[in-house]
Amino acid sequence: MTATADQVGGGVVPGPRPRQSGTAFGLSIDSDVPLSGIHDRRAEHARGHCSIRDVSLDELEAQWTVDATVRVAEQLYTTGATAFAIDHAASAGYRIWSFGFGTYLVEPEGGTIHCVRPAGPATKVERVLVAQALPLSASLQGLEVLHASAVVVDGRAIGLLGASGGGKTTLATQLIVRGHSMFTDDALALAANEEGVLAFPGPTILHLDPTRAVSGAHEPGGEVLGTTDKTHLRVERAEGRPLPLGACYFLDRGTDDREVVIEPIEEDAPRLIMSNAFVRYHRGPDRLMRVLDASAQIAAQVPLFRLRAPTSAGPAELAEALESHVGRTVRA
Amino acid sequence: MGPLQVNEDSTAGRGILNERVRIPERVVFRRFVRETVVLNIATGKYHGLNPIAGRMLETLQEVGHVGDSAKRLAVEFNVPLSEVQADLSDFCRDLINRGLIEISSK
Repeated sequence: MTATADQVGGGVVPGPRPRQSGTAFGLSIDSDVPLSGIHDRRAEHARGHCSIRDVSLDELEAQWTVDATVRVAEQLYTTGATAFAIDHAASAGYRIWSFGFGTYLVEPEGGTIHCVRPAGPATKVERVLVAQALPLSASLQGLEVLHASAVVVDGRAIGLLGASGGGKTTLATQLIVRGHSMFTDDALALAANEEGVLAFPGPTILHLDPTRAVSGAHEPGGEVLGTTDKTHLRVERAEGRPLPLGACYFLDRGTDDREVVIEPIEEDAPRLIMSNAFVRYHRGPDRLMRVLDASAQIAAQVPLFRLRAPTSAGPAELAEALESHVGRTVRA
Repeated sequence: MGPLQVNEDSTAGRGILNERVRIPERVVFRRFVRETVVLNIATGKYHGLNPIAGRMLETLQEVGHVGDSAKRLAVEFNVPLSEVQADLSDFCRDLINRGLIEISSK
């Protein structure tokens, strides 16, 4: 598919811009494109590097002169029109296109992202860069990325996994309201080996469902950057250092339980971990092996729990139950 | 020399107990607490084995000969040899059909 100027909203003419540097998802990042929420800290713990380049559509299309492409992901509007698509070409990388949100080319090794910015607020660019392109870059560079949010409890990163719309961000937000630090939202980058599982913080931005309220009188604290399909909140209290992954909680909402139940997972561990891989379309042999190895390391070293909750249980109740469980169960 | 062609005679009934098998390079597996996950890199498919099947696969990898593997497993699980031979024969045929093991020429 060729992205057109209309489809990207007329485009933004790139020009010389100050470079921004920081870290997120285990990557040291330097960027022509302004990014909110990447950690402004030295990259001594980074496991890879990503340069984000602000380019024109012509420049990006020139890099995408390929013979064969495969569409690896797609979302359609109800009309059947394409809303979002990811195409792969072995020689050029992954091209991510989102209607009204720009076009992005992630090079095959993940070291560079070329970005054709759409007209409009910066949150549009960040929505795709943070939600898709940077996690893909991390995955291409050897990190394993789970579809998960995470907060810091007792000095460890605690992963929150579950189906889309299952309440991961809402629960993370409630835990932040209760005083814990944000670690990441929606994508959790990991490096797993025999010595342990290390989690890398994501950008300090929560992508809140505007239809869901956070209970309690206090907001998580931060700046609303804008609204797309989500409300994007830059959180003040956020951890910028990699931390050991202390535990993972798989959220199972709407169960028949009368109260919140937290139970250890053993039998479904491989399927749950692998089915929560964030970048499912990156399926080369090395990646398949890495998913298997990382899943085995996580299952062997990280306590896994299922958090079952009836529909009547609100975010505050879930957060209190999880917080208490971590304190009793998860050891440093 | 590559793996022998699988013919029905060798795998039918108990004939497979006389064969040696190997796990091809395109197949890797990792043990979890309650499951062994097998990855066929060529197809990109993951397969799950229960703990006993996982142990069978490990033993086949270690021993190679199907009949000898059955003997080892019978001792390990304290189960009659004939029962293990039947289960292991069926298991091997299933793995062969899925491309996860091959009958080896040596």
